[in-house]
Amino acid sequence: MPNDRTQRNLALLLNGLPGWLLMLAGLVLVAVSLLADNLGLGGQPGIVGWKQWLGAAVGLLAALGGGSIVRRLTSAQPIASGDLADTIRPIGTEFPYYDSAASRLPFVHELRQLLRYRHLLVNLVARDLTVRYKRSVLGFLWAMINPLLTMIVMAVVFTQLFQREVENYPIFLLSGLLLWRLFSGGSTIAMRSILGSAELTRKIYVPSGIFVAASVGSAAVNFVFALLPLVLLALATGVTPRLSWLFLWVPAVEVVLLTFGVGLIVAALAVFFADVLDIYDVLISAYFYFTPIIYPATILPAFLLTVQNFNPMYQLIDWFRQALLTGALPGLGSLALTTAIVLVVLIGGWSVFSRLADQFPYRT
Amino acid sequence: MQAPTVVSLEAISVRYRVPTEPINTLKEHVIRLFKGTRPGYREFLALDEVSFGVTQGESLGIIGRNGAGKSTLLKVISGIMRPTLGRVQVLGHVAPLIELGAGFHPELTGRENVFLNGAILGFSRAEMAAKLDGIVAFSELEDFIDAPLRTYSSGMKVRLGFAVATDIDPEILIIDEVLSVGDEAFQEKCRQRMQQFRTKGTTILFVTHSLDKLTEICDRALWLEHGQIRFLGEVGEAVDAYRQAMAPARAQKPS
Repeated sequence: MPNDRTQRNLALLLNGLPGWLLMLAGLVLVAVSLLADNLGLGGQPGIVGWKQWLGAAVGLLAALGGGSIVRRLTSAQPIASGDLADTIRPIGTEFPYYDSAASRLPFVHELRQLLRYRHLLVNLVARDLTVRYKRSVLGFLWAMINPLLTMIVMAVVFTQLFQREVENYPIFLLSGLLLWRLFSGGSTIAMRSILGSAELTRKIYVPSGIFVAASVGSAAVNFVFALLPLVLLALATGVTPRLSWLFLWVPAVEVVLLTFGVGLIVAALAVFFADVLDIYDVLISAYFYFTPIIYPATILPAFLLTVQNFNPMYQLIDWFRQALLTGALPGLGSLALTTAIVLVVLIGGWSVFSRLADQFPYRT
Repeated sequence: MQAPTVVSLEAISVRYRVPTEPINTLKEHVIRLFKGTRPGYREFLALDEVSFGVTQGESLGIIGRNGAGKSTLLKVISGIMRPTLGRVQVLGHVAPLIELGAGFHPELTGRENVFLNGAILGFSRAEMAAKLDGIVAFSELEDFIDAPLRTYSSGMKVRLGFAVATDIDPEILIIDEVLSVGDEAFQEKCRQRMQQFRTKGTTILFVTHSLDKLTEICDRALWLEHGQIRFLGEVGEAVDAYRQAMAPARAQKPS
C-alpha cells in the first residue's frame, strides 16, 4: 500500500531527526566560524584565522557525526511484532503493551518516556525543594540568601581589585555567580542522580533521564528564587530597569539546556567509572577560574579573550550581564555560535545518555 | 474460552559481565587503552533461556534459592531491565510491590509521599488525589497523614506503602516477599485484598520463600535454579518437589 510506504518513510525521516539536527548545528557552526568577521565576532576581514579554522573543524565533525547518526537511525529494521498485542486486541487496547524486542531508537524512545513521566518530574523537583528548605527556619529564603552571602564575601575581597575595570562590581559578580551556580550545581547533582536513585530503579521502572532532568530542574528553580535579591540589589545600586531585561530569559534557558546536556554525559559516565565524580569536581573548578566570572574579561590577554568566544558559559553570562546592566544585546554571531554549541552539547548528551540507558540496570 | 496470555517470555537470557579485576575507574581504562590490554570479564548468566507465559488472572509463584535469578526475572518483566537475549512481552500496567515504599522520603509528610509514590508508578496528581481517601482509610493513618514520614513506625510505613501500591489497581501485580508485615489485623486485611485481586482477575506474580503463603495464593509455581527453570507447574507439585530438593541441604545444616 502506498500510504503505508509514505508513513514508513516519514517515520524513518523523523527517526533520523536527532542526526539531522546535529548535522544542521554543525553546519551552522562551520558557517559562523568562517564568516566570523562578517558577523561582527571579530577577526580581520578577508583572513581566516586559526580559531576560525578550529570552529569550522569542530562544526564539520559535528556535521559528519550527525550524518552517521542519520544513517544508523534510519537503517534500523523494525522487527515483526505483535504476538501478544494481537491476542489481546479483543479485550481492549487501553492496556499498555511492552515488548522488549520492539525496534526502537534510544534517542526517541527515552524522550517519549521522559514526556510520559512528566508528573514524576514535577514531583521530584517539588520533593527536592521541600526537603531542602522545609526544616530550616528561614525556609525558601535560604535559596535567596545563600548566593547573596557568597556574593558579599567575594565582593568584599575582589571589589578593591576590579572596581576600576568593572562598573557596579557587586551586580556584575552576583549575576555571574548565579548563572554559574545553576550550571555547576545542576550538573554536579545530576552526575550523582542515576547512582543515587539506584535504590528506586532496582525495584520499579522509571526512565532514568527523569532524575537528571529533576536535578537540573531543582537547580533552575533555585536560580529563579535567587533572581529576586539580584533584581532588588540591582535597583538599590542604581541600575534602571530596561527593555533589555526582557532578554534575560534567553541566556538563563540556554544555561539550563547546557547544564542538562553536560549533566546527562557526566551522569552516564559516573555509572560506569567511579572516579568521574572526583575528576568532574576538579574540571568544574578549573572551568570556573577559566571563565571570566569573578574577574572581567578585559584583563585577559588577547589570545585567551578570543578563546572565550567559544566558551558557552562565558558568552551566556556575558549576555545576561550586558542585558541586565548596560542594555546591550549580544551580536548575531555570538548568538548563533553559542546557541549552536549549546545545542550540540544537549543533543550529543542525550544521544550518549539514551544509548547507554539500557545498560544502567546492569551496572547499578 | 481460554484466558489470554498477558506475560510472555521467549528464551530470555540476562548476562552480566563481571570484571575479573576490579577496574571501574576512568583512569584505569585510559591507561589500559594506551597499553592495549583489554580488561578481562567473566560472564554470568542470571537467566538462561527462560521461556514461559502467564495468562490473565493467573497467580504465579516464583521460588528458588538466593541468587537463582528471581529478582532479575521480575526486573525483566517489569521493564526495568532489557534482556540480553530473547523477547519479553507484557500487556497491562505492572505495579511492583517490591519492598514497599521504595520512593518514600522521610522528610515529606505521608500525604506528599502518597503523591510522590503515585507519580513513580505513573499517575498524575489529580488521579492520586481521587485515590487519596481510599488509601488513607485502608492504611488507617487518618491522624498521621500530614506528619513527616520519619515520625512513622516501620509498621505504619508498610501499611501506607501497601495501600498505595494496591490502590492503583494494576493489571499485573508483582509481589516480592512483603506480605508478612504489620500486625494480625492488617495481615488479615492484606489477605482479603489479595483475594479481591484474584476474584477481580488481576494477574499476580509472587516471589516468596514462604511455601505456605505460596500455596495459599498461587495456582502455578515456577522454580528457578541457576537461572533456568527447574520446574513449572501446579503449585502443590512444585512445592513438594522443591521441599524434597531442599531437604538434604537442610538436613546437613547443624541445628
